[in-house]
Amino acid sequence: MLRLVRRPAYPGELNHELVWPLTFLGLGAAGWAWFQTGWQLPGCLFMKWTGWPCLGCGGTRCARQLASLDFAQGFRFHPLFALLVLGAALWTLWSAVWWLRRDPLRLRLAADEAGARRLRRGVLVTLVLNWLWQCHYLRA
Amino acid sequence: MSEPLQIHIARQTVQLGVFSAEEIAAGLANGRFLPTDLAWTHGQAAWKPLGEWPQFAAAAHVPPSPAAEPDVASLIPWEQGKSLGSFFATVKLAILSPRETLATGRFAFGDWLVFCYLALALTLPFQLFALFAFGSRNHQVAGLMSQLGLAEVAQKMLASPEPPLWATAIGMVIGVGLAPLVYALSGVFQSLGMKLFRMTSTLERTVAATLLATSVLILLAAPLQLLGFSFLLQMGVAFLTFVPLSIVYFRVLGVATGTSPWAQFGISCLVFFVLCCCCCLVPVMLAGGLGALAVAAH
Repeated sequence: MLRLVRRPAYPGELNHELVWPLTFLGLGAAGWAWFQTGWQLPGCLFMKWTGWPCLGCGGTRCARQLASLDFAQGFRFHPLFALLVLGAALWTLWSAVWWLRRDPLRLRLAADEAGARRLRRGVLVTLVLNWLWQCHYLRA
Repeated sequence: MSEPLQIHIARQTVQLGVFSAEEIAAGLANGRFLPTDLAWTHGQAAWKPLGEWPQFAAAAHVPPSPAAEPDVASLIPWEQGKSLGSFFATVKLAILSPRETLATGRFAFGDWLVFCYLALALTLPFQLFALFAFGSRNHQVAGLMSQLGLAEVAQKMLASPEPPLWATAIGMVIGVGLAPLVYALSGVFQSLGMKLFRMTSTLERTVAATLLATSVLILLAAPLQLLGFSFLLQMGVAFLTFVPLSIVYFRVLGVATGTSPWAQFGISCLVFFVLCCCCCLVPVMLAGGLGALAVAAH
């Protein structure tokens, strides 16, 4: 079973509502500043040598599009990266609401053995589907 | 039909999972769980030790079997007390004898976040010295990019305006503020990779172990900044120290998470591949190799 639960933090638990929003905001600001400089990352060597995209191919282009608020094009360049950014934005928003409400209950993903197995399979399937899309779109 | 009671269990700073009441009763009897383990279920305001739950009172009074994990105190100096002395003692142990000490660590995130900030603060003078003594190295990097067949990228680098040194220095200090959080995020990806291969280390422990291993790595690599007077020499030495530094890094990560360093190396390669880091790492390694060859030729 895999479900979202709202529960209090146990003593010493990592403060996910503080650490990750700070990380996402910092990375977002750093990424935006990087794009302002006009500097480029080297092209993908894996793609250059094999002709096939690696799993990260299109990620920078996706980030560039997202930074210029073209979400549809960003999604086309790297759907998984776009979804991760969306997830990070939603978590940051949720955390902001959580801090404002001073809610004692925190949102956590709870999984038993079967749920963890399903989650593992889900991650693998998502990676494969994303790569198939990259092969279709980036090699066109 | 009502759902069976789902109880969340945590020990010290680690969540053990979600279990049914029957599993917990059996676990208390066979030593899988301890009466001091914290438990929470829907509707409760706070976590309570299992020994205080009425339905587990009988099972909690059974003397623990030898299978129960002994509550060993941490042997890591940094977890015994925070000081510069314990910081350097921890770094020394992590490099020279990680097996004896790191396996006993609690690895609470906050402890190792502070450790990482301290490590970065100690490396900042090296970075600032290199920046002000040797200036920007964009031209040298662009030269190497051209040699690697990435002339287009090199041209774009040179076409971009050079930021003033003070702006770069401020960027460096801000980078120090952000870096431990980025290392922690890489620990999350490492933890996800470990979960794909059914390794049992918890997210908190893996993230904290990543912070420790990265801190040791950046401390060891910091003196390379002093070789900035010769970019090729710097890249050459970086290339030659890549393998020993990697051994230190993955040994620390493996011992701290209770897994094999080789497994950690494999998962890191997978994570690098998924995150496309290889695209930056490979040119750096090739540039380092070229640097080493050039130094040898001199």
